[in-house]
Amino acid sequence: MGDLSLQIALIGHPDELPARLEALRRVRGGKVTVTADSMAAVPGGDGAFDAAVVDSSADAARAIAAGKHVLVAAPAADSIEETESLLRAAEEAGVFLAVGGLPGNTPANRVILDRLSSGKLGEPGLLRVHCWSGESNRSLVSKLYGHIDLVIRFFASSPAELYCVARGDQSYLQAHLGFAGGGMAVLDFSDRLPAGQGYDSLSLVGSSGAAYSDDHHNSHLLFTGGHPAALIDNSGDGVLFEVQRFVDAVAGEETPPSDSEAILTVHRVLDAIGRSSESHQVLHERGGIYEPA
Amino acid sequence: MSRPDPIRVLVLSVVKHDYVARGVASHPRFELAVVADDANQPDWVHERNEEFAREHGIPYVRDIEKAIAEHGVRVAVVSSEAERHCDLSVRAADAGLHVIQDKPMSNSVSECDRVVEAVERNKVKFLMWNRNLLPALVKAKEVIDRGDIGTPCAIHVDFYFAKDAGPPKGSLDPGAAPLDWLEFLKAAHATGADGGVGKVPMGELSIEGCYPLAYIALLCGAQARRVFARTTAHFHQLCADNDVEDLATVTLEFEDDLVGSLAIGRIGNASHPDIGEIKLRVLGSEGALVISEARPEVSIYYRDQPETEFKSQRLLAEDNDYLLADNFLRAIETDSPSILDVRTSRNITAMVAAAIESGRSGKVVEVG
Repeated sequence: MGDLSLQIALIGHPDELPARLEALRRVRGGKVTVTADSMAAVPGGDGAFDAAVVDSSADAARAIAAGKHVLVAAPAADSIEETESLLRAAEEAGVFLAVGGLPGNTPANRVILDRLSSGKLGEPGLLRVHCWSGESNRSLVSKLYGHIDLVIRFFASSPAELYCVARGDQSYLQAHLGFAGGGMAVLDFSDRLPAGQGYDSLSLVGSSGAAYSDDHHNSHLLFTGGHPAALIDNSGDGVLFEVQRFVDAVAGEETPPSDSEAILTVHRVLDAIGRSSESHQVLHERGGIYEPA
Repeated sequence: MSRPDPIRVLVLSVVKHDYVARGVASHPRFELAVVADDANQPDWVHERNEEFAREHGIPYVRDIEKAIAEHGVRVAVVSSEAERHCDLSVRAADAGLHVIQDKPMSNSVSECDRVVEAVERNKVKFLMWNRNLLPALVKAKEVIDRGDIGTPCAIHVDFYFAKDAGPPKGSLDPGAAPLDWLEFLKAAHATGADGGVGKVPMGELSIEGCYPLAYIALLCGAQARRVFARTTAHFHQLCADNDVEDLATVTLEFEDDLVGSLAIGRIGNASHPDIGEIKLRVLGSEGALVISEARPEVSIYYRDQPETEFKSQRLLAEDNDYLLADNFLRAIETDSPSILDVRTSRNITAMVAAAIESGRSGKVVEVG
């Protein structure tokens, strides 16, 4: 790209913008030139930037309508229909729509994916994920999208069957997935923890190795009287990696970081998870559609 | 004041790992008195029984009923192949002996029902050997019973043993004869990895599933109503050849809205620096708990350390054995249930059987 930097509008919650802005100072070939809490509030209008990093489907739609490449925090939209609409709009506008905020792009999971793809762990057999947080009003799609994307990446396919159990209006959900060839995944999500830090854990067992990524391992101890507290280390998010890939893709130096069919596949699996948890049925994939046996 | 006489113990077959009998003997109130088995057992069974008897300076009698009649025993410790567990336990109970049985209770729920009937009819005590008194489990139970996390809503156990079980799946010539389960497990006696020894092949759910399910029974006291499982032979040719799983996941739905899961496997030496990843995670109405079952432990590293030596050594694990024996003694002396009694053990076997059926059928299965 030479000296030309992609000018980026960073859109997000005011509390989160400073940390993200600091992280994105390291992006090569791109520079955040404007921040705002929504696309509508961008000072100077659409001319002030070339691409937008946003955290809502509404802002993604506005960015696309303005002819800007957009990286949107997962999920691109809550429904598959709205997602398809965004993808269509992006294609018609000749811009990229990339999905970010994915667990698969965190430092730990990039290491695991690398070891898996290099063959060191063998064939993936079992993926185990626990993802707990305090109370939230996030939708099911919002809570699960990134992890289902990750599961599909680990197994290089969508699940062949699934069975899901939910409790308390989906404040707790457990998804049990089976893959052709025998692989399996069990993921549980809860937003029932007391207010405060959450807990994340992932283990992947392959036929010739395993990977363990657990907040329990990455904890320090704080002694202030009584029982010590666990300080969970921040093992990093994927925002810099994602934005760099996005910038490189816009510059034509990398293939676009998102695949429309992959995005829609995640939505289909999420839809099936919701239906299985409501119907208490095992659903099987047939031609891209999940149905009872 | 003189101490009561030790309770004399019949070791009723000890063909696989002998830790149950040793564990009972670690308690000063129990005394191993005799080893016995049926005369018609194969030579390898007698050889192992005799070896144990010799090591402990006690007789070996090839006649179970004779050993019971002549050696003044009050307790039987059953460590035969799993397919004989229940028959031996029933015979011991019918002879009025209290029974300590190695895991699994059985690979047949109907056999377990026979044991339940015999134990209850004869009013004897039953303990299935377990790990519920390891320090980490004691700690977990303390926290939960105290109400620190409120009412448990979800409980998850990872129970991965980082052990090999012969050649990796797919590593043999395509035309190679299937590996013989019994012969392979007999050879595994040297390393203690022979929990599944017997004529009937058993997967990890059968061999080891009772341990994590016993944790769940201890901590939540709930009975699973239905299960959904995925099972596969992912690692070992032995398991693939004998159509049993070495990797399984189970979704458990209990009464009172409690849910849970189990992930279990014999995942291979290379997949963990120590015995394996064994963790419990409990979500409650007011908090959550994450427990590493192996702790407390100390880590030791040195030059030329054998690959098969665990880098982290568990501490106080032998306390589990003494405490189990002590728990059983208290059950006998106070006429109270043991920490893993006959009905809970039977229910665990039923959960395992349902999970195996679910894994094969791909359906949700009601626990019988």
